[in-house]
Amino acid sequence: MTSLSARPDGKRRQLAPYAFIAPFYILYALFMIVPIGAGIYLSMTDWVGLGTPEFVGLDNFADLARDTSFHKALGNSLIYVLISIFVVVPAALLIAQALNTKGLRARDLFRVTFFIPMVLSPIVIALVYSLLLDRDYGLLNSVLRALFGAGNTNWLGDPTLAKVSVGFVMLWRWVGYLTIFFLAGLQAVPKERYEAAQLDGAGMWRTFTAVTLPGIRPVTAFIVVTSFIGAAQIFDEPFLITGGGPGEETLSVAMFVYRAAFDRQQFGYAAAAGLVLFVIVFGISQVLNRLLSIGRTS
Amino acid sequence: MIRRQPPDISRRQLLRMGGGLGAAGLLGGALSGCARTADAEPLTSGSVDLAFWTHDQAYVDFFQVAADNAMAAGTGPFRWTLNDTRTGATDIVTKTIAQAIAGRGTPDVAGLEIGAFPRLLRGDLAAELLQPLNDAVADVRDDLLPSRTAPFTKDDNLYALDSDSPLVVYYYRETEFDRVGLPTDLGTWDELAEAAAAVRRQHDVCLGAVTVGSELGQVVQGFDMLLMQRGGRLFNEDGTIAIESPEAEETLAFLVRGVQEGYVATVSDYFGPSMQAALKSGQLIGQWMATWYKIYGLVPNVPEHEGEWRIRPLPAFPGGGGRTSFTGGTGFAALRGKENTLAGVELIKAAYLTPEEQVRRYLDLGYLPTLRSVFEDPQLLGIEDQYCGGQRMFEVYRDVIDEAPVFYLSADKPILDTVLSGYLLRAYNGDLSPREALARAAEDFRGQTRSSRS
Amino acid sequence: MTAATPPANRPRRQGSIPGRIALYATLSVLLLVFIAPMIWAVSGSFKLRGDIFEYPPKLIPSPATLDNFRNLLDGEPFWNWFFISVTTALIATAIAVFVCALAGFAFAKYRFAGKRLLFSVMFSSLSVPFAVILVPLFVLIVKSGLSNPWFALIVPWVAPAFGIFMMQQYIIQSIPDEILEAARIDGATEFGIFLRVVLPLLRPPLGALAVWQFLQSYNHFLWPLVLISETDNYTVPLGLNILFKAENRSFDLVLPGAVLASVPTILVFLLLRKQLLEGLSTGAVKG
Repeated sequence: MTSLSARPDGKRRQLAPYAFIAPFYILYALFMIVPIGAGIYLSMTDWVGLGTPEFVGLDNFADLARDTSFHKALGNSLIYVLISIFVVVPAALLIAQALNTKGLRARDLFRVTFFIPMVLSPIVIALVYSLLLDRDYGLLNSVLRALFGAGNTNWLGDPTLAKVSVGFVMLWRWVGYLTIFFLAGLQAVPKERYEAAQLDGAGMWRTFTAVTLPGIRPVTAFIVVTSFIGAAQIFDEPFLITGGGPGEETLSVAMFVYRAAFDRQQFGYAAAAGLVLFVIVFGISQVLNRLLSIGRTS
Repeated sequence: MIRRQPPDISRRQLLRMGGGLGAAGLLGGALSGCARTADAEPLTSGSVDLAFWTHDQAYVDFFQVAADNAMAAGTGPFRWTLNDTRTGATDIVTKTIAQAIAGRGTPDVAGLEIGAFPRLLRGDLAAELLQPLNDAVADVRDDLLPSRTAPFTKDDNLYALDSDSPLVVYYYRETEFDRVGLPTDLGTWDELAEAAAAVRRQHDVCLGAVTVGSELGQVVQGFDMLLMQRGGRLFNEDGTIAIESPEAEETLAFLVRGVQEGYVATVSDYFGPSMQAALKSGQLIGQWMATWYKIYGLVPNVPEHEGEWRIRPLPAFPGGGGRTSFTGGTGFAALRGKENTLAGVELIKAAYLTPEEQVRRYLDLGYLPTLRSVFEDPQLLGIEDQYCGGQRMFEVYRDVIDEAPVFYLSADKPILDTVLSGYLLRAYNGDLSPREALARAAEDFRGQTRSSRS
Repeated sequence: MTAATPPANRPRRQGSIPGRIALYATLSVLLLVFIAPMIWAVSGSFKLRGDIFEYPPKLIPSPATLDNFRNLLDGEPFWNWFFISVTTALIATAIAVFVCALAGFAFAKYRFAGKRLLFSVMFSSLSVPFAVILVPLFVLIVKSGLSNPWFALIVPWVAPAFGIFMMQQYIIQSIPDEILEAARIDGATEFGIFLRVVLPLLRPPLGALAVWQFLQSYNHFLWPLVLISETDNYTVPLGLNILFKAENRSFDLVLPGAVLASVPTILVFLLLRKQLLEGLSTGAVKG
């Protein structure tokens, strides 16, 4: 990147960039920094939403450390992160590879169709999937029953299957979105490198590991970090599809925060749980950003 | 490419951080400032526009007529106009609290569904928001069923008047019982279960259903109805958990056996398509359920069954308990410290505490009286119900009302719903024995409720 | 990118006919997996309440009915919800696009003290989970009396860091310094340069960002869920969710709502898909 050289004549020119970025930072301060500060304060209180918050120091955090429900939420959110990084991201890469095949017809049709779940409202997705996954009358079990005579699987009621179902909906919703990034990344890999690999007699797998993967490293890093952040704070899918159930088998940390504040009137406790999530997600993604050198100005 | 980093940046950074912390202090100030909003001077007479929140339009109509009746009788000082807001039962509580935080826009009278009400039991919420009705009910206290005031009472203050005495009875489809050869007058669950097991060799029929869907409260409800019938409780009066009891174990064992052997069906919820299909297909020919279920469950889902259903007292558990139970209810409360607080209290009194209105409430809405004396009302006893083949349903209600259990709510009910529902499902699946399931639910519950403070 | 496909990156696949067939078969199965749930929902919206779950399942509703749509539109303030959703999303989009382009331009084309730090502060806000500000932001907004959709669904969301990043990447790549210098020599102010020289050149990423932001706003669920309390002020997703819960999971009411709710987003996406798909990848690939 080249940038304009600063000239002595332009005092206004020196101030201009600050004015241009000011709207963002004002909103950032008001709706990010201030709430985080307020959250830190709330996290050290016991408050039902009305009356005076009672200052309790770090009690909320001590309670969180003992709360089996919070442990479960952390564990589930970790599972969502793993699904996202080790299932959704590779699936997106595979689809992108397939769509990148030379001379593929109807590439645009595939690309656009795979992207559509991304534009649907989460509530719409949830409605569609409860229609499909209902144990007794859902389409999926009906089809299984018609084909194999056995369709009594409790997709949303079994602890493991419920996670699988939520994971599948995550895949369905996000894979087309990530495919777009991978596809662009693949198309940016210089073809000379492939030709060179071919001359060296490299096989398909070797080409993939030696040429493709290094070639799409920046985009992969971006996708991995974005997916991590998205999955770590997942709310919509489990909230709408399973309500966190059965029991708490699909409860995520964001749902835990919501539930504590808006179902159980424990605002201080909710703020504390939110802060814990913040520290984890922010910490890990800063480390990842640094390791993978994402988000530099140049 | 910008190497130079001027020192003023970090200062700016610090200032910004300071701004954040300052805001937190500001917030703290704002919160404590509203510890108790100054009470408005209540109106004592005249025309009032009442903000009336409920989840069911039928309540709006009922209260409006009750207001009109009271005004026509000229007994009270108020002339009410209802300004209604209708939204989901849980949202009423959420929104009332949100508006209270904002310090304006709260309802004057709110219908608090019994599943959502426990949230107000946390901390001082109920006392902060609701006007105690102890004085309002003083005249009829002896006649008012304690089983319907206990759930809405905290620290001896009654905060809402229930709309119903939602007794649990056994609904059965008489025509189908006849067809498959099931007797309808068996005295105990065990006898009925045994008969059903025999019948199931030829007919795919179920005696009732438990819910296994994502509505955690409903999963617990299917179990809780029979638990209370058996004489058990979810909570003790002091709000501690009571599910590790022989009663709970026996109840759960009955349901588990039923699910495993097939005479108890599993549906995702009691109202939606899965229940409808179970009823429609003729698989589900009975259900223990509240008195309101005919209107809210059967008639909308299977109108074509008109004339085929009957009710009876619940078959008993051999181990003890009664022949009925409770599930549901909606308490109406007036919000305290508002201009319309008194007008709200008077409206609730006018609508819910006179025998005439309680009779009308049953006729219009199908909700049972909460005054014991009204159960003897000849008009109600004489009603023959068309959907239930001309049965005099009220005779069944009067027969069992005195066996109705008293139960208590707890601010931790939502927590119990979450943990218990999961273990109930595992027990129905046969993964855990009833005793294990209950013990582990109780253990998880204690892990999540913080005994250090409420 | 659609018409002029870049040259073969994987020449190995060329010519292998069974491979081709397998490829098309796999992609078509995937296509089905992606489309089937949506088709099923559309079909369900035209079925009678009792037929939605009938067994064996039928794809074509018979009898087909419009009653579900009628019941929804007559019984619920659906158009109110729709109006709130679409209008707040449009306003938020218009402001966000402007704010992002402006900030992206500053980061791309100016040298200024603290730039690197400010940029990484901006960028790091991408990794702040919403759950941490959910409760305090709710309290602050409600306390300050701003919990109406026209403020709360718009103002806190009009400066997405992702948008700034995307704009910055595009501007670095596609806008030469020379034209800025030329404008300066003609005596244009800095803001004038942005408005009259830069903005017109930003049409592709502006389109992409606009679609992205519109989708984000329109589909946002958790925030309206906690914030909006009046039925008339619901957004479409919120209204559908509450309807679904309040009316005992009556699919006959919510499926037509789901179909109608998806029309604007799918329409916007299909119309502007090229800009969106290409714009989205700009930042990530070269960044």
